[in-house]
Amino acid sequence: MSGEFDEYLPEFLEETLQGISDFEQMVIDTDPQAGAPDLDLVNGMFRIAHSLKGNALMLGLENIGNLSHEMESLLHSLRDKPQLFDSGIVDCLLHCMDVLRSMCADISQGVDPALDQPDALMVRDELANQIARLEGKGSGEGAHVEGGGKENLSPIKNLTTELLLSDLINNNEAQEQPFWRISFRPRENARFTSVADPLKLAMQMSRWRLSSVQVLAVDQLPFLDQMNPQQCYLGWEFQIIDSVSRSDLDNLLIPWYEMGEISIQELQKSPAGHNELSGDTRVGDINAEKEDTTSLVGNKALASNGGVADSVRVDISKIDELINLTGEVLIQHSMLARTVMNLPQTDDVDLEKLHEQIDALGTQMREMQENVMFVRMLPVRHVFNRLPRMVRDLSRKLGKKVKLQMTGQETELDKSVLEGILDPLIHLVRNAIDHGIESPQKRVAQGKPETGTLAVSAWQQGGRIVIEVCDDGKGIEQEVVVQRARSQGLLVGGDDLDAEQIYQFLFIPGFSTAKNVTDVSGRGVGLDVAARNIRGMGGVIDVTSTKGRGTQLQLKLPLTLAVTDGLLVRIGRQQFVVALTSILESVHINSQKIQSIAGMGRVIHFREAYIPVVDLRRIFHYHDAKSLKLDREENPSVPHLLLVLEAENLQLAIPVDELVGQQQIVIKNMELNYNAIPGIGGATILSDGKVALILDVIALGWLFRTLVSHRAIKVA
Amino acid sequence: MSQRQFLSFMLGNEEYGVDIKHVHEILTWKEITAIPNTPSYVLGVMNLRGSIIPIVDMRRRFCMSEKPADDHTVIMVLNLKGRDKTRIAGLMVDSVRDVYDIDDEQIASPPDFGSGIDTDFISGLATLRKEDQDTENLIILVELSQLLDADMLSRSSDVNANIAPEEELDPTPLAS
Amino acid sequence: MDNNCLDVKPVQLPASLSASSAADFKQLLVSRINEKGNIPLDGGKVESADSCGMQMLLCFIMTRKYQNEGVRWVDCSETLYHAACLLGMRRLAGLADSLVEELILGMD
Repeated sequence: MSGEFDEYLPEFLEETLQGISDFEQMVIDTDPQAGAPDLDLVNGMFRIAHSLKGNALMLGLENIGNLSHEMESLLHSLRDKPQLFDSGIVDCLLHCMDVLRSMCADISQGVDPALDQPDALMVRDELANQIARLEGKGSGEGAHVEGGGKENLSPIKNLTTELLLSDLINNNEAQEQPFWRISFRPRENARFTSVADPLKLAMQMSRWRLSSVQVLAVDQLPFLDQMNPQQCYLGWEFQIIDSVSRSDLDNLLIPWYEMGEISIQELQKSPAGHNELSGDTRVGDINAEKEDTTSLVGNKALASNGGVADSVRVDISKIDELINLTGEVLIQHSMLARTVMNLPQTDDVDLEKLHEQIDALGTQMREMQENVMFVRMLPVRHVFNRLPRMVRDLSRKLGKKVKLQMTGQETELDKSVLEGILDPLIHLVRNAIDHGIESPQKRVAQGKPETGTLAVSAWQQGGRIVIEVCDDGKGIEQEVVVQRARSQGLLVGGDDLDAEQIYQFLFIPGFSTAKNVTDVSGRGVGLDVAARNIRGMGGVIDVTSTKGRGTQLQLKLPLTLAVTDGLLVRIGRQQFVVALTSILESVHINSQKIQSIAGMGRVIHFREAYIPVVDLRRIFHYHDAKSLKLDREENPSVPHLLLVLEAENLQLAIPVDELVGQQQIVIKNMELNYNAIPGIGGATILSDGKVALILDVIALGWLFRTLVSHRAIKVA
Repeated sequence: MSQRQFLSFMLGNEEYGVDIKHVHEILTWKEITAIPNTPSYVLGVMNLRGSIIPIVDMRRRFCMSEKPADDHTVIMVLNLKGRDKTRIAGLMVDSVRDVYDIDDEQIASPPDFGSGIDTDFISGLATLRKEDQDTENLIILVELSQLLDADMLSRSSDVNANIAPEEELDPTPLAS
Repeated sequence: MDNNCLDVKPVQLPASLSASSAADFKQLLVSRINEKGNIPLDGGKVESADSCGMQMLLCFIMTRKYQNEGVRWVDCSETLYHAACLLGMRRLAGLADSLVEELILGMD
């Protein structure tokens, strides 16, 4: 694969993936059952394929180019005969999207996608079949060029000719009026750079449909023997049809202000809506003050309507770097604060003032960190757009009819939280279709509409993002869950559990209420992983269900990556951190007040209830520390320090040796370089540079309950 | 004929070699935070400029006698491309020795050791003759990518996953 | 006065019309710049192109025009065509519709 175009690849991949997403949505929208598809959709798909082909070939990516070319042929035939668009074609096109996605994945790994790999071969066969089928059904016109007389030209070559004749750029089919006119004239001695390459710019703009491209200043070209190849002598004028936002244009043109003069002219009034372009994949928005943008775009005259950029396109790695740095700065600050705290008071040093200033600095830094985190916010749409395809495939596979409704797609959350919810969301949706929504016959028998509804929505509530997956299926049968829990030894008795506590069983590893474990949702493995991932981000899952009516699952997540306050505690020689939000109280309890209940282990009486005492020394096998000894001969009035914790309706008490102090915690994922550890929800770096483990309260509760109930069964 | 570069390290009297392209950096021993419920050869985790990385005691892993850390003890930070994911991990070894260029020809396939060393990791044996010496060096080449894969950890018989048997639960009824 | 295409060797455009091979490309073009008549251009092997290369191609064609000479396309790859379209050089480079049509139909 040619290395010279490598720097274009990230852009190409981003645009291609977006194009694939858009294409898929269009394919799904065609809905062959409802008759011939909208010609706009077919044209839209054709345009995407054509654009993809052009861009790919230009970067030397022949494999993608050739595949797109064949898709283009198919779509071209369909433009004339849209009534032939059937579900076979839908499948074929979706297949192509899969292969294209995988080719993009290959490219991003630095591997040249082979066109002879089995999937690609298969899909090309499919395409060829479909094309042949269409040719056969056609009246023979339209596929051949007039005046040629050479009938044995292959269909693909014919197509190329027609395309050249129709020339999408200079001959826009619908004769639409352009929206923007952008012109560029180079300054003296401007040189081509990788960042400001007119061809690349044109490629980017073609996404917005160009009605014309003109090369300017051709008279400025010197004679060939006198020209400097690296210098840019030419100018260009582009006319764009789509009503993109001014800020999108500005983003694109930022590197060009250095090269010469840019002029942007709005040729039409913008439509009533505003700046959001549906295909936009902005990776970060910084709201710059108007005064500051002049320094961003350089000193060249902004020969435009006086518009100012109000958003900037930023490489995501720069943001991540920035976030890492702010995190480290915060840690340094912590260390500084600690050092200062340990300074002895002397006369010539105003310690109080020093403390004050360090505190103030700390507040400002936390604010800075919060602001930087907000830069990484992305709309949920990026994750939601995977769902339509998935729902369609899955419902077909399972023989169910499901209608997907998505709302709140523009709700924003932190990029890493967004990445973290993808898998859980997929599992929940899979589960809803597999176990929630009934087959069409069953639904009709119950008086429900044949097609089930799956509503996925996102909104902001308080300081959290809520993502809801709601189905109108058969709901969760509590008795089945309870029975299952008993049979798996997770529950003894439990007649008094309320609905929410029962539902929590669904999130335990290996738990599955499906009578026939289907491979589709993976044996109930999905839910426990989903729950753990959500909790690992500082979020919770709430479940509501009505038997026969449906189920509603809500993922509640923090807006930004969890930077929370925690309490550092010492148990034996180990230090752990507990999120402050999980702490109810710390209590001193005499050993005589710690009681044992058969089948439940040790408990204490706390605020009208008995809550279990979870001795981490035993669960974590710390042989270097003595366990909580409750020898009856021990002095019954020796107090033990217990930390009472709560998360989601679960309460437990943990004996600790010392409360060390409060600590700002940035949660670091243990699974990145190691694996998940039961009971541990991540790690954090303390102000002295050491690592402390963060307790996952809910996991601890379950871990403990499982172990104890197993014991209970043996002890009987 | 291809040649690869190996970095060698010592565990006791034995010299082991890893492909140098997996080696990230070498550190002196730092404080490690223990993690519960992991095999004993996983000493814990360490903070490497903001990243949390696990540390493996290679002596324990290869079932050798333990040795207290001294001035020469180092931690080799490697990129381990496991079956499930790529990890950065630190391996605690006695010392780091040398870098060798080894041709494929010089590598013999490993016999069945039958000792505590898990032969899953041994990719070959290389015999190198040093110019100024009469003796030959035996280097045990190891491929450690899967060292920390979840399935590899659970296979190890070292993990004590059950609650330690301890004083029985006191069955006396709730005192009122 | 037409050139039988079998007489004159076409100017073979390289696979890569880009900044990195600009010097070589320029040399190739300069060596043929003064030939009389409509010099045949073969762009069939062009696999990748950037603005630098396309500018040079245009410069070649315009310089010849100034000298009252021309070019005649004998082959053109899709990549080259696509690049010319995107940069608005299609007509100037002589790659406009009817000629290319002739090209494609005339080849086998």
